Amino acid sequence: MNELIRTENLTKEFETRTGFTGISKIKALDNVNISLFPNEIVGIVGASGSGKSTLAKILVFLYKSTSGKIYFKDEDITKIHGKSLKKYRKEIQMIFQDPYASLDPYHSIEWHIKRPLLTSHYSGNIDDRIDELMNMVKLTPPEYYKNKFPHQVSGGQRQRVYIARVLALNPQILIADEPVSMLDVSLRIDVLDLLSKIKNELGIGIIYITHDLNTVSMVTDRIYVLHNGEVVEDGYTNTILTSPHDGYTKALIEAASDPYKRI
Amino acid sequence: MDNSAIEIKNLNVGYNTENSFSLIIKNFNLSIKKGEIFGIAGESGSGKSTLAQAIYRSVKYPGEIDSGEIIFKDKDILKMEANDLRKIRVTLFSFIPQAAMNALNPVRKIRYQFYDLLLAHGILPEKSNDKIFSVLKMVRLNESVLDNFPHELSGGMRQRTVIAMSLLLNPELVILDEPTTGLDVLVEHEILKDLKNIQRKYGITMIFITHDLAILYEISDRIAMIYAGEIVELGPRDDMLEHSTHPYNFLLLKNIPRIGVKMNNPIKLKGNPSNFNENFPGCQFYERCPFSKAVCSEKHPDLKEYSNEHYYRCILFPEWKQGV
Amino acid sequence: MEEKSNLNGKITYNKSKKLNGYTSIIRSSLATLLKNNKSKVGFILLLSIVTFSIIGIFYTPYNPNAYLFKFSQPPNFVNLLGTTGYGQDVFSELLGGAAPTLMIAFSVGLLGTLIAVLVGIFAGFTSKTTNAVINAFINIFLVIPGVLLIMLFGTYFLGIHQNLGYLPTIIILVITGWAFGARTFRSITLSIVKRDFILSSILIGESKMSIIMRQIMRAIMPVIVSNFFFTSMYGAMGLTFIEYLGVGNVEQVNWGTMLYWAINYEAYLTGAWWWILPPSIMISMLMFSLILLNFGLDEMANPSLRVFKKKKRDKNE
Repeated sequence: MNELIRTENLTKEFETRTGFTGISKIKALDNVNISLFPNEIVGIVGASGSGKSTLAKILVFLYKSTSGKIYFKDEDITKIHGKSLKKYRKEIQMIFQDPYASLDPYHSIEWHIKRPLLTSHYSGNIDDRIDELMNMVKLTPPEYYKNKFPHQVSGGQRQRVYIARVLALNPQILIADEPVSMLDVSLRIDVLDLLSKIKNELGIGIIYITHDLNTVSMVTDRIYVLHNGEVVEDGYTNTILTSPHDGYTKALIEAASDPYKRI
Repeated sequence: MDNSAIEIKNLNVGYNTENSFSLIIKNFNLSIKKGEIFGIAGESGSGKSTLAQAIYRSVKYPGEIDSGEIIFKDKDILKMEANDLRKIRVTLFSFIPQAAMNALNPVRKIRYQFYDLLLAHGILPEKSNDKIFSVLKMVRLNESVLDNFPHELSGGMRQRTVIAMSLLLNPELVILDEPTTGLDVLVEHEILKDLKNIQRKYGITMIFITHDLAILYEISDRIAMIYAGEIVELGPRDDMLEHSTHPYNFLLLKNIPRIGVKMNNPIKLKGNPSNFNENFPGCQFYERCPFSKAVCSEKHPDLKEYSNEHYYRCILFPEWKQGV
Repeated sequence: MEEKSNLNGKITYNKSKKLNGYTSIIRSSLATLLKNNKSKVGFILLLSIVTFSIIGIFYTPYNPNAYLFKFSQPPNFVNLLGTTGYGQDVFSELLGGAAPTLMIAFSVGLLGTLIAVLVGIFAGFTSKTTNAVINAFINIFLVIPGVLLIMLFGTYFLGIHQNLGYLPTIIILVITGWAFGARTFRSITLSIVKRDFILSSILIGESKMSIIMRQIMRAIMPVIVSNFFFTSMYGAMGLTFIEYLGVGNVEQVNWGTMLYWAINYEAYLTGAWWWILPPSIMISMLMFSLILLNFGLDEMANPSLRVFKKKKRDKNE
């Protein structure tokens, strides 16, 4: 099977102004090559400042890359814009880190799931589809949640609402940027399970971005370890977590929290 | 108890809302021993931060301490004159509130922020440079940070600076509220290690409050789990880990993903945190508990002793545990 | 606020009451506005001033422009608020002059806010270059000294022996008054469009227009209302100022011209307080009501400003 998405030497430089005229460049991503297949969860692991969020934003075209190429199903989409960008965005969606910020506080939960159906000109019965999506993310019964506003439900439920919102577009790729780091411990596992479930049932490819190796070990099939914008190690999750080669990966594993460990 | 560093008796803390005063911390009793790291765990809305603020008597409006005693060095903190309280703060006990590292004065160099702290306690800063250097050394910071502005330091360095400030006047007790939240994993790990080293070396009592159960178990000597403003389980760390007596603690531990440990459909908590009903007659945990029975909704459970120093608040124990 | 409602242990169930369209939004925000004491007082005050002005359109005890009475009579039963130095009834002038004053204040508020919202949101939600150009444009209008412009226009009109009517007055006040609001809306929009929920809508495929109308407008609604009050205040002040300087049409009756004639007649020296005080008080009341409404709005938008009294806790509840 072919890759859903593949990057080739993706590089991103940010320009920052220093003083009046000076411009200094910071490399956020340095020749990054990653790939994602259908029906798999790939982890991008790194500490803050490693460039993992930048990568996510480039893949959904919120940022433009400085150099390198992005392929979507073997088609070069590095320079798409306008109509074709809109079409591409339907296929790749992003789940934000903070479910408190990613939902519009002035609109009901139903609105959030209905809008993508309307913008993508969904042909079937919209109300049925909303119910179906809400059942899929376990917001049941749908009637109970539909007319609630984001501040009336918990963080975990907000993240579910958001997942239902993006699934409404029937995307082939989901990019989840630290989707559980803002949630309470008892709610995290449910959201992670949900990600595994949509991967299995819908065959979606998911890029899971995080700093937390514990959750990575739970949901991902393969990982890329990102350090200062460079991929320092990649491979199957189990292999890397049991026998890491890179010093940085080792440090991350050593720092991963575990209640059975003692500091 | 002579070896208790601080003792909380029947503490009630609540919040003023438009038409009521609702309690967050209810009839709270706790005694913290000298020289231990005491961990307090709870999810959002459980009242853990309010508890920390109450111990330091810094609950801000609309929060308000309703009643209770907090005995520290034979004196009730809650009844102290404001001036006396100011004197013992930082010198005898100090508090690092949530996100304190973002609360450093952005337009003042770190050096002068240290000086301000000293002056506030009537100490001439010029003679105390050695003291400042020594606390910076404790938190493994270079002396050069003194000539930096806060924005020139990384998050971890700012957090270290805040910890150094809290240790400046040799307090016996330090309360840390989510000291590593928002920091990078690697930095977090380093700071936790340093905190533990400092605590062991100088025998400081630490109250460590966080929502992150994993790091709490890594660092604490004793742990209290808080749910809806009450202790649901309290005990030594190892006991809590191996012989959990309350479903909340048990299930949270089971639900933490760990490297190299496969989870086979663990039993999950139901519902959501922070939907507490003050007037519910039964166990506050009733709605979230997968083991709950009708009896749980009728009677509010008392804190019972399981073994030496290990307490739990559950009617169904040990019944529920046989089912797992 | 959200945390409080959580801690309170109450979950409000939203019973299929759908709020669609802007009329219901305005209705619901009016309801919340009236929950606040400050804005309630402000609203009642404003409502009574508006009623007063509406009465004035249809009925005044005497013709406010006619010189029917003795000069400078203190208040009595025939002339409730006395007479002017020229023999007009002050109460009739006050009543009849209310509608034009309010009309101008609110038209300036409405038009100024409309332009400010359009320009501000467009500037905040467009490319960097366009934003910079519009920002420069806003800044140019911001530095135009309103007073000078008014004097300039006024004297020009006087020079050609014509008077500044109400419409030119409104236009001048709108021209000098919209830029401040536009700057506010621009900066708020700039910060809102960076928020995740707008980014999310962009990714979902919403059009810019839909995002502006459905989300940004909604989020900045309190600021829009507040800006309307402030610009209205500017309108009332500006009108008073223009008329007081005498560059407007002094034959028209409004609270500004009343003051102009009173000052012109040196009523403050002759002790005719009944001539100066009523229009001054009415203008102050108008300002006061708008300010109170604004305060209330602030407390609504920022719940931490609210102060509650501690309620006794009923332990046996």
